[in-house]
Amino acid sequence: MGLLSIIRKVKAKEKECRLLILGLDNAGKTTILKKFNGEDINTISPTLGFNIKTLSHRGYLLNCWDVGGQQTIRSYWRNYFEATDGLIWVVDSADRVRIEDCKRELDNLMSQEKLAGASLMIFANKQDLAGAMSTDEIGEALGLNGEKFKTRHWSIVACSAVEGGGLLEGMDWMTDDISSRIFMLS
Amino acid sequence: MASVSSTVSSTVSSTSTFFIERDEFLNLIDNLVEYEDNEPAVERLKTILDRYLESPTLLDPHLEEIMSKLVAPSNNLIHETYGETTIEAAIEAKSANEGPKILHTYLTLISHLAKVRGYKTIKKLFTHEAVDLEPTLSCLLSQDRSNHLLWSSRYSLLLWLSMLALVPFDISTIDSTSSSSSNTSSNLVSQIISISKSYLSDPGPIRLAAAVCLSSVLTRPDMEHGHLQSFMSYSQSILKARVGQNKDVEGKGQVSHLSDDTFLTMGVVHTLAHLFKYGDREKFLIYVDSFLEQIILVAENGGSQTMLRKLLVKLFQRVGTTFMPVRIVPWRYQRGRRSLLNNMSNNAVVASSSPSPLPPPPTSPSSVTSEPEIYVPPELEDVVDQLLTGLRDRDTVVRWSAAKGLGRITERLPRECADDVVGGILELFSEEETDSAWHGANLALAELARRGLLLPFRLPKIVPIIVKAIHYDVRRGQNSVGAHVRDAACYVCWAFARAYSPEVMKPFVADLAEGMLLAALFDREINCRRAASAAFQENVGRQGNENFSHGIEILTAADYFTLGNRVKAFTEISCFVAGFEKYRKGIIGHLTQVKLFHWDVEIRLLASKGLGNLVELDRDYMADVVLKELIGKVCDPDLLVRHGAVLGIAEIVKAQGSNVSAQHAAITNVVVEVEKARLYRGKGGEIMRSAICRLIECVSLAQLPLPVKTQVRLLDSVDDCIKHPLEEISVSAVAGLRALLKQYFPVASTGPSSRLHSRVFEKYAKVVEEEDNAAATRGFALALGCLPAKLIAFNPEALETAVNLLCKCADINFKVGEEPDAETRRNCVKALTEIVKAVGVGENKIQTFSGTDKKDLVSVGLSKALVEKIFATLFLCMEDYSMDKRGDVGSWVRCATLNAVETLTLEAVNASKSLRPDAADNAAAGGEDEDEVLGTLAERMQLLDEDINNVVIASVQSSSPMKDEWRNPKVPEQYFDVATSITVLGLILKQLAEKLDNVRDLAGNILHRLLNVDKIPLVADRVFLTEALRTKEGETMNWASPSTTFTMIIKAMNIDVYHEAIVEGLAVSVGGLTESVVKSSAAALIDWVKTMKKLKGWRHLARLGRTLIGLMRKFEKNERIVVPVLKTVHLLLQNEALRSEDRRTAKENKAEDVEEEKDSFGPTMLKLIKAEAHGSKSYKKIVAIVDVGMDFVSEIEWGGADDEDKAYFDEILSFIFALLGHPFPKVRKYVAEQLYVALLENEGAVKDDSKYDDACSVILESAWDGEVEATEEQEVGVRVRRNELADLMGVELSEKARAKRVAKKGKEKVKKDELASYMSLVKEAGR
Repeated sequence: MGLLSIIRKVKAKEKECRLLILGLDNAGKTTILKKFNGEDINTISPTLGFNIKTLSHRGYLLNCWDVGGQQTIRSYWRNYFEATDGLIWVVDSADRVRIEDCKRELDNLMSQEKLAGASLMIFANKQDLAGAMSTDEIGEALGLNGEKFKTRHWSIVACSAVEGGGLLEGMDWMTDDISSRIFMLS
Repeated sequence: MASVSSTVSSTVSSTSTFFIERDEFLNLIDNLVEYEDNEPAVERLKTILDRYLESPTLLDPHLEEIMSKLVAPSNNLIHETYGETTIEAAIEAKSANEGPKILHTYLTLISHLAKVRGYKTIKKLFTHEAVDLEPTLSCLLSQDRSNHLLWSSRYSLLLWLSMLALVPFDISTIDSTSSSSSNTSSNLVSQIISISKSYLSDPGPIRLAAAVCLSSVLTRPDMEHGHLQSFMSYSQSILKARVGQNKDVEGKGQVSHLSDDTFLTMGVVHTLAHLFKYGDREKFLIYVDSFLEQIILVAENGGSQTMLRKLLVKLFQRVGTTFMPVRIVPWRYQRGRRSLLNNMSNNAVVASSSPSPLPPPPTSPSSVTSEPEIYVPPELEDVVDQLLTGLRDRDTVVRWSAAKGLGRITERLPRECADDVVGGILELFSEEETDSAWHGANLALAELARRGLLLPFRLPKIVPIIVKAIHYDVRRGQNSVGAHVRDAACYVCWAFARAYSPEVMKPFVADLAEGMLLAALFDREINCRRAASAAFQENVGRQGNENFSHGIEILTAADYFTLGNRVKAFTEISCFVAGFEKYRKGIIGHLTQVKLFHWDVEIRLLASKGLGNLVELDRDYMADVVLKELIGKVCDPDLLVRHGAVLGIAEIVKAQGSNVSAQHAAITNVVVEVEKARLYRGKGGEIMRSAICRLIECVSLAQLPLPVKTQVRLLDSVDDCIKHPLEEISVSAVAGLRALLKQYFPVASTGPSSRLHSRVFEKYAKVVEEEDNAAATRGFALALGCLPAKLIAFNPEALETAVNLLCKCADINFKVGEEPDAETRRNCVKALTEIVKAVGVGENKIQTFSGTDKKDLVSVGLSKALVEKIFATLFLCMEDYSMDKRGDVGSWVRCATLNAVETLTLEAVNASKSLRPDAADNAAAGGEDEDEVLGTLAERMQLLDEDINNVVIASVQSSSPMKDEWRNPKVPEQYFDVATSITVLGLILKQLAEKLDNVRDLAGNILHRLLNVDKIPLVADRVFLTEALRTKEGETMNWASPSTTFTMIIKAMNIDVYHEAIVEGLAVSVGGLTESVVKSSAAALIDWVKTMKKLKGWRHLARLGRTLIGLMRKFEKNERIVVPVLKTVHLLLQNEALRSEDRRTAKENKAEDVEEEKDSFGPTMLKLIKAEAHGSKSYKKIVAIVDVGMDFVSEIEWGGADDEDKAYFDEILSFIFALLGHPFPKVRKYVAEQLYVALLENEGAVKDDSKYDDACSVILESAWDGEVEATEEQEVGVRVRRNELADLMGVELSEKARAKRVAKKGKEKVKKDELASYMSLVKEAGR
């Protein structure tokens, strides 16, 4: 038994998982993470780089990686000590103009082999803004019922990072889904 | 486990399970009872479960369902059996009643589940009702312990019992025996304990189940006195016995081996570990003192058993935790975790306050600021000592267990004591300690950090240690250890990133970042590079990009994937990272002080390359500091240092160019210095030589201004290395020579001075031609190839001399001294290739060099005559199949030739004016060809059936209009024609069909380039050829793989112009020895035969036969070809490819095509094999001949045969009978066996049907490997039997053959002959 398998075992015992929070820039990723973390959300500027925060939720330790929207994200897919268990894809529901870009980026991400096992949680953010798209609309636009998503565990939740609605439900789904197959390491 | 179903209404989500075999699995279980033999079902269930060994948690949502399906029926069965019998009866009837088989099946599956998911999880899913207790126990008691196949039942029952033993009632109330008898020893509890105890010495998994069961009974509150006490004293005695026994063994000087005692000790220790864990701490306190002493003794006496050592370490930990009460120590460093739920619900509070350090940990009595006085028993020191020793254990599992144990104990200690533990761990990081100790100490540090037990004030001391550990590498002879230490050190860095806040880490960031980066870029092992990059990533993410300068940029470039490639990490990513000034000096320093002197020569080379690439980032520093430092080390007594230094200097000089004025003299002096110190001798002399050659190459490439004297001096050094027997050295010497001659040694416009010419060309040529030292001829042959045009092609005569010399020496008959030398021939071919590249083709090819006399020197290209000469030589070299004790050494020559042919072809085509002007058209036409939709195979065959010349012309014309001059060899400046093209492609195709994987690979790639990339003109049948060799879109073809290549080459076999070449190669593969090649090529050939038959392509089948006959003629008595060809013929005859069709068409064709088809396949081949068999002493060959001969026998059909046929049949049989009287007994036996088989298949081979049975029995009853003539022991000689058989079969043997063909030579001679033949047979058999 080498060190790696020991670490995996410890991870499973401690119920730790690794979540990537991704999405186009200005979708509200950092706001969501700060909200989770109980930090002030009034002064947020574009994330240049990434942050890792650890949160506990329902007995699980969630290591959340908030990666800036303009980043090359390949570097974060996989690392030596842990694999990605879940993806949180944040969508700006009010940004109808860029929903096509959003779909393209998501498709691109989903085709990555290294992320094949990860659960996908889509936050339809900014529901508090007027003219925001509904989850059905967004699901349609992103093609969630298409062939690509057949084999993946996914869920889409309407939320507002500023008001806080929907966030908890989303994270509940995420932890439940991961826990049902937890720490499947490729 | 939380339920999966989510009830959030506003969400849309997909649901699915990860246990995809769920339905099948549950079905199989349900139906288990119904099967007569449920073995396959059980196997299937186990297979399904085993798939989840890697991530067993996937099963969790379904475990309850599965277990209930297994447990409930088992429970019923147990109750049923119990109803029939009482415990006493059960004990009596132990072996008689094993319970129904189905019960065992259920229990086996449960044990398998426990194996996959872990017993702790499975255990909880058993029923635990009081009424089940007695029946289950009874069932366990009734098991037959001698039946090892049923161990899984006993295992599962013990686990079950461990759950049942937890019944919350007084156990005596459910004990049916206690009321009837007052005897305490036989009551329920005693029985459970005694049976469990008896299983403690089990060598398998039952021991664990027994330990679990015992501990769960004994930790019941009502067991405290009596049973627990007695077990504890029992354990004491076992441990004592163990210590005593080990001492005995030591005294006798024997190695202790695995015995029951060891297993029993393991069982007891395991039970104790469980007891101390689950038992009430305060109650166990009374035992710890006495036990501690005992187990320390056991541990000190050690054992070779990893498991035992691990269990002991665990027990120490449990004993230690028994000393100290659980508490949350107030001194713990808390970076803290935030609860998502709390944060979300306390919105209002949070929004108002800025992010502040976390509130103190949950309030508890002990969390007052001043720590209450806590008593730490002195024994705890022993425990910690033992665990620290465990950290140094040679097995990872033990070290890890010790690290965890230290973590758990430290968690309960007061601050001072805890700090002592940290101190103890740090002591392990010393030079004297083993690598295991470093590794264990790293694990322990990470564990403490994770638990917040490593206080920040210790970091200043720890961080430098970690930085040291991250580069830990200790040489052990030729090797080194430490990869696991470095890996673990990265883990510590990773753990630190998670454990401490940015403010705490800030002072150490610079050191840690540098350490992690250097490991990520330059570690030898891929896992360490990745671990380091992961640690760096974690640090950047948690400590902030501000702390780790340029963290994000570096991470983006140096991620998990790119670092996997070591060359890239050393040479490319390192440059990128060094682009950030903050890390540059560290990187350069690490390379020049550590990696350049690494024990692995590959790493030294990579480090030097990396260093070279870094030069442009800081030229001054490299020149002034690094170079100076390295020059001082070139004569270092340590080989690694002086080798690395020379390599480093070479690469830096190359990158610096001539801009190293300060060190100029010193650099050129390095060569002299090294030679003066005689560093070419002894150990490491070879690598020093090649390093020096590289230095000379780099100095030349950098164009350092050198005085003529030095130039000649360097030339002497290189010359000396060229003739070195190690190929690597002569290759690097030749590289040095090339650069040196190109850069220095100016020539006049009339060519080099005669002094230079004799110093270089004439000297080398003389060595190659006359020297009898193979190392020298090899080296200098290569050297001739690297002479620049100015030295070799300054006039046509000089060039011709060089080419003639190389052509002569590349010939297969050329000898070095007395022996032929394949490497010399190969190097000559390589040299020819290089010359072709250097001077080019065409008399008027002009290259100018500025001469010493201010006029320009013009070099000449290869004349048409020379091109033809080289082509001719190369075609001959392609037939180099020489063998020596190293095997097919000719293949090296052939490979070199393939490359040479490609080069020459391209040069010739490019130089041919008539071909080049419309090169663009050709390419376009070629493109069209590819798009052309080709019809079915049948259609194509029709096309191919047309006259050969028409096809050639047609296809050539299809690319561009045919010009006369292409066929006319007299046209000036035309160096390539159709005939040459056909020969070139034919030879490449032949190599592509041959048996060596690497040759095929090379041939395939070259062919692909010529046809598809360079699109050379004048390709006969281009359309068919490219179609046959077409690879799938965008796929890179692996030509070395026989399974794909042969199917392609077979398609090309139908093309007339390449047919013979391909068949020649293919026959060698089909009749070869390498299994994969034979299999694939034979399969492809047979497929082809089938297709041809289906399409009625008789013409092609007949042609194949003719080609094979042609090969037999061409390579008469050449075993390399003849044997495989015969094997191929045999294969084809077996598949009826030549036989049935051939004789028929032969007759059909007779009328119309008398001339061509006169010789039909059978008779011709028969004549050929007769000739081959004559006088042959090779068993391998004779067997191949016999096989083919027998194929002919099975073709014989006397009935309805005409005269011609009859004569042919007679000839076949008399040949077979001649072989039946062969001098080799083994041959005679083989012929007889094969003849019998042939007769079985074809009764028609015997003329008179009535004699068939007799003929068969004569074959069977005779001892064919006996003496030829009758002897005293053997009444009838083989010859007599053979004649008898001949009579029966109606074969007319000539009188000469009947008579003593063998005996005529005299008996003496025969004996001698046979002795000799035996020798050759023994040799054959030994192969």
